[in-house]
Amino acid sequence: MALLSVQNLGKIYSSRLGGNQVTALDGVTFTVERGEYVAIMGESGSGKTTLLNILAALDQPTSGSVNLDGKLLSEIGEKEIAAFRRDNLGFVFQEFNLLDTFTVKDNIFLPLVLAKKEYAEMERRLAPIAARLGIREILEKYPYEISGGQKQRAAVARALITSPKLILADEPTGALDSRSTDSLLDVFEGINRVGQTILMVTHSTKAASRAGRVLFIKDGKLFHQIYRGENTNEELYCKISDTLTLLATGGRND
Amino acid sequence: MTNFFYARLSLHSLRKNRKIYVPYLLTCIVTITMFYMIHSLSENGSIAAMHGGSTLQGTLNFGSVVVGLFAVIFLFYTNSFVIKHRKKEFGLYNVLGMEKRHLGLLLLFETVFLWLFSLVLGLAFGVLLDKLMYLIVALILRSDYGAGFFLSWKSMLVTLALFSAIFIGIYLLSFVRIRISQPIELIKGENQGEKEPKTRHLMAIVGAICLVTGYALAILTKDSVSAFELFFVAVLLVILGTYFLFVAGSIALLKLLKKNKKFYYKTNHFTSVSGMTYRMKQNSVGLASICILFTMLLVTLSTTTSFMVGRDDMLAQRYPYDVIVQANTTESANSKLVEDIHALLEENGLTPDREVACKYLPFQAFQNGNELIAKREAGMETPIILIVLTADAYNRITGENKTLSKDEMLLAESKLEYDLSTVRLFDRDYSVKEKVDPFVPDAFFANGVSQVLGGLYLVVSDDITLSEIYGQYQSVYGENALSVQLSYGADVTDSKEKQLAFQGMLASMLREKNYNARAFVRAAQADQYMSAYGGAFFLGVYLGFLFLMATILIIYYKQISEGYEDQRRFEIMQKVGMSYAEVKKSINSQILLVFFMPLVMAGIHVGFAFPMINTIMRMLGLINTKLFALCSLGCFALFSIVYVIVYLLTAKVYYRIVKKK
Repeated sequence: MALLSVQNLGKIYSSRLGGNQVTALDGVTFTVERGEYVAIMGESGSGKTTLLNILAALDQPTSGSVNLDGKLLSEIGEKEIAAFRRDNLGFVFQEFNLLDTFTVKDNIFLPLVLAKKEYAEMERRLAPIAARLGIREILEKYPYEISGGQKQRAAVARALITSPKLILADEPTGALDSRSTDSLLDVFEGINRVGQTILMVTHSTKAASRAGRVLFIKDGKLFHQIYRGENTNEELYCKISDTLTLLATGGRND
Repeated sequence: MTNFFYARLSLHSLRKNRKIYVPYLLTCIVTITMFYMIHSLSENGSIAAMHGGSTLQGTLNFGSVVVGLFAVIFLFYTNSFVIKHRKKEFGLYNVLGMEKRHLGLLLLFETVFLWLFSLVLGLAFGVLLDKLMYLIVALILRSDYGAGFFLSWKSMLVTLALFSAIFIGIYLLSFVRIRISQPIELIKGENQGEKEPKTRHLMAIVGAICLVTGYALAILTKDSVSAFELFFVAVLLVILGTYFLFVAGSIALLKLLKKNKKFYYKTNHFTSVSGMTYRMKQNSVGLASICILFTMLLVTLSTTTSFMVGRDDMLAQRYPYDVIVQANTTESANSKLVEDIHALLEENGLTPDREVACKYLPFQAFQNGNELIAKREAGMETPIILIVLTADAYNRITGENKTLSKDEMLLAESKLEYDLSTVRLFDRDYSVKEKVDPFVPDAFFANGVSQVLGGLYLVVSDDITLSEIYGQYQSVYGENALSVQLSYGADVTDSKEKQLAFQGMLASMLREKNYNARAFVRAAQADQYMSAYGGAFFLGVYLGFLFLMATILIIYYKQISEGYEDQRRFEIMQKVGMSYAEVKKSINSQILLVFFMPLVMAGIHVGFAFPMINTIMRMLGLINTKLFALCSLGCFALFSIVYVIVYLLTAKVYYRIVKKK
């Protein structure tokens, strides 16, 4: 069975007085298998972020359902949702979202502390992750003392440390320079290779070309998808570019 | 045209930042009102004309200086909050193409609007409420009040000048601040990455030492004279200690907690400890100031209230009879004096009720075993005040019938305990026939037994013995010897007006007949007490109100600025898996801690200061410890209630900021 199964998802925002209605998502259906690396692409306002927020249980859909590892998100109560998110999902944000009152290490430990883990266990989990992400030297530093790329790797470490079933990344390369972007994408590829499922929302073709599958979303609807198959990164890059061009120059999803 | 644009823009930005400017404006208005009122009261001619009014105006004069100083410090302080908050906006204008001088112009218009608005309203309220304050003062002085408004142009001018100067100063300071900062800094403003505070061990230790020493001084000083001298030393030490501990001690403690991994990496402690570290870094000085302000306020309010409530007791203690005459005249004149007072009482239709007259010899002596040695110069020993009187006088006062032989004495101790069975005085031994209770209030005798230190009453057999003792006393004191004294006291049942009128006549009679005597009529003294303690009470409450307002505003601004910072933190923590309830709980506990720390600390300060202040108050004549304790507790309770209300109100604003996305 698929790890994540999204069925006919719809989200309609209505303005405060109920006058204007905006459809953010419309009948989105897809599945993500265990160990997959999926990128979701689309322009600003296409509904990517809404989709991600719903998957993260930060927002509720107006219709349809999300099933993570056999559990319907809509059936999880208000009280358990934070714990559910903590145990099953790891987040990587464009803005890093590190707390500047904590050292890098404490930022990474935050979800574990919330899950009431022992300190020794935290250290044990951190060691391999810090080594793989190359952040061992900056663990005692504060977020304002390190570069953007380092911040993002710290954020990835924070997402990984709970061994989540799924990592949700929202424009993870959006605030990085090209070298940091490359190194972060290497990190993603590395953790995916050892079995980590990743769902990444991006509008960077370069970032998407490293994924195993790319979903395209436009005006709230799923438009197209490309499997990597036997393609190299470069070939996938070209395919994505073509699709984006098609999308931009008037391809209709009907 | 351009100027018009900046004027409009400044009005617009004042409106847009009303969360910041409304409380600021209110503070300015209230401060101006309060300053005008107290200044105008101290200038008010009809108060000066009231009985006891000049004493009270002296107090008010002092008060207006305090309010003025307060206004300067406080308005500058709050303005720094305001400017810090608006840095981002100024940065944006700067980036959009406004030069620094345009920003200066914008700021100028804003300041002018604030100045105009707060002075007009402040003075208007001042003039209106001035009448009310005047009525309260008249009530305190128990005086009739005239109708009509009193408008003090001088006070208006002084208020105008003072607050214009303050606004000019504030404007210049803000302008300089904007001038020296870079646009990018302005935009980032409050969101700059905060560095982790350093631990300042030395400062923390010095702070702890200061505080402990201050506390020790307050508790261990028993003797009233040194209490008076050491009080300010103790206050200074506690103030220093408070600042140092808030600034350095809090952070040292938090870092220590952080080092304890088992403690630190627990859900409840993790966010609180690290959050508090930053809160303390930003707020420690403000919190220490609030704490000191609170302590001062509590002390001022509780002492002035105690004096106000306890003034009748003090009066009764100081003037144990309605009419008291204390004479320092010759033996022969003494009996004549009592007759003259009687005659005058009769003449004025006053009937003496409880009447006492007694001649006595007061002097100071030092104890050496059972010997009491009279000498003029005091060494290191504590002198004992002796009052020597005859058995005859004792019997008349008490209505008893004691007879003593030449070598016997009756001994009464007031507030002292000497276990004397024989007394040796001027080389003669007396056996103590009986120990009796003090039979007249101490204050009855002039140069008499101090209400605080107490003394010994020695009752000797007859006039001959008293004269012998007097002779020897004269040979020791030489020219400085007093004559045998006479004290006369009587209660009268007649009306206050009659008593007040009698005072004048008594004084002129004593003057005309050349008596070397002082006369007191309690009813007249009561008014003096009322104007002195009532004035202090009025000022205490007045300043208390002002300080309370200051504290409330500081807390409000702290909450708001923290709210904006916490907003982001709040979001992130929710994203990484903290539930809304958990975040709220964590932040709530931090705010509670920050909020109530100054109050709790102030309570502790007051608790430790209590014995010392009590000693000083005893020296000033208020010996009712229970009353003072009740007043202190009452003031603290009142404060806590106001504080909790303010907390609930500001917490509401805070959550509205934090919740907003």
